[in-house]
Amino acid sequence: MPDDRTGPETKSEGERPAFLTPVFRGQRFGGHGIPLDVLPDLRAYRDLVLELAKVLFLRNNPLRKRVPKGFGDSLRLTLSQLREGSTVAVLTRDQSPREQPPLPNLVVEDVFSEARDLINECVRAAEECRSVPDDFPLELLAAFDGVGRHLKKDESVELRTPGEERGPLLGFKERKHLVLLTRADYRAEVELVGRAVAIGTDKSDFRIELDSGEVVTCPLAREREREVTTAIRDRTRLRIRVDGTGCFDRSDRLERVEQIDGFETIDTLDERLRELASLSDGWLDGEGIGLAPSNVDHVREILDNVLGGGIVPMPSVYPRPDGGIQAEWTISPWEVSLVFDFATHKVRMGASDVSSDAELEDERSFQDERLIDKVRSFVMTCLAGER
Amino acid sequence: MTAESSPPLGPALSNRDELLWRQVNPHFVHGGRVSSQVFKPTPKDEGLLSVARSSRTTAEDAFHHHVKILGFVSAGVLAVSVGECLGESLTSYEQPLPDNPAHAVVDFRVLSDKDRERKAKRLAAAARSRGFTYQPGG
Repeated sequence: MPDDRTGPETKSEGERPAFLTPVFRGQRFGGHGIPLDVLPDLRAYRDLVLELAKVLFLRNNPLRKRVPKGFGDSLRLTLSQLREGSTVAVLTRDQSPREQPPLPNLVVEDVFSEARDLINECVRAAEECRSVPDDFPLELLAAFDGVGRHLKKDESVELRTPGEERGPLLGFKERKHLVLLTRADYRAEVELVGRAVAIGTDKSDFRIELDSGEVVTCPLAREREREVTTAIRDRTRLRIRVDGTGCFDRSDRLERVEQIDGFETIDTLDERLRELASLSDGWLDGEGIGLAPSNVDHVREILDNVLGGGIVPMPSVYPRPDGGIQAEWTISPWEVSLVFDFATHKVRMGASDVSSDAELEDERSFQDERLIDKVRSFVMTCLAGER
Repeated sequence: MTAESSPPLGPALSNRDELLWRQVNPHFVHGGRVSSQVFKPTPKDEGLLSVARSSRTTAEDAFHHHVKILGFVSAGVLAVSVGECLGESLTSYEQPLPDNPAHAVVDFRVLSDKDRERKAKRLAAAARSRGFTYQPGG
């Protein structure tokens, strides 16, 4: 993190006065830029300044019922500079005379600065665990839900105003505190990995079951419906990763995902076989032959066909000391295994009923035309007797 | 443990309730499920599956011996009882080693490879139902 506590700068390039100098802090800002993901937070800040300025303007002009035409256009904030390792942004007000809307007989210039300063007081109060200023309208506290929402929990933004050496820090804690003063929930970035388990009846949402067992509802875009349906049908094999905005209650419990920014299907079979392909000789405490990539590809092809997009559940897959691969299922009371033996080029199927002495066995050559049918049928027989 | 290099087998273990600790190689864990191969002797074992006796050591100490003294890796410790082994017609024997007095073996020697796999499945099912008896950081 570069030292950004240098003297305040009130002028930016082109001599336009800085309106605010947000200083971003955190690992992502140590490089040479501000992630695009964070830019919506600056827009949310601009919107908050504008809404607050409207309230202040009407408070200062009690005879007026509404703000003058062009009031909003007079606050055109521009990200005009990135300084000091790109962690310091400079927001300036665009005050080009030809773009300046006519606001006859009304002094509005200072009301935006007043709004900016009141926001800073509010954030400082949250930072210091004090009450927010009395003149900050309570109905606007919820707007902090958007300002800084895309910052991670260990990141913050310092809201430095011209002439200040140090502005208040707005991070997750402050934002959450301010939002929960008037609301029962708040929003934050989420990254979830789990299994898609159901689509809502009106197809507007779907549910993910996380590894913790918690089930979370996410919005479903029409163009993603097919992908989610596939993930549900083959949910023992396919996992999904969702990035977006989550809605949390006061106890930090994730109530739902409100917006999805990133969606990815993870093929756990492919993931596991890649792991196995990376094993080198000696992987088993000095024993264990490394797996040949061509053998791993062969197993991938066979298992892919056997599983058939969800017809057969995903097995657990392990390396064998002899350089083969073993797939296993626990299908109570059956313990089922497929041994891919590359010395004999055969698949050995075995199932043991652990509640009795019953055993099922079969063996097929890799070249057997009916291999897939036989293997699938073998596993399905055990599934039919599942208890 | 090879038959050639290992000391002779001691007396057979008779306390059916005694647990036998078995280390789990991390590659034999997928999605939290442990492979039945954990309970099948590898070629190097020559039919004798190495375990540690609960009457002589704890699961945690057995883990640390395996990792720190022998320099191997382990995802944790599973256990089967002497009785469960006997239920599969597998006899367990004392085989104390100079640096590991708790060492014992489960004897698979007379079995074919297929039979070893069958019995390993049954022992693994029993061990899984018991769960990990020790896991680092667990």
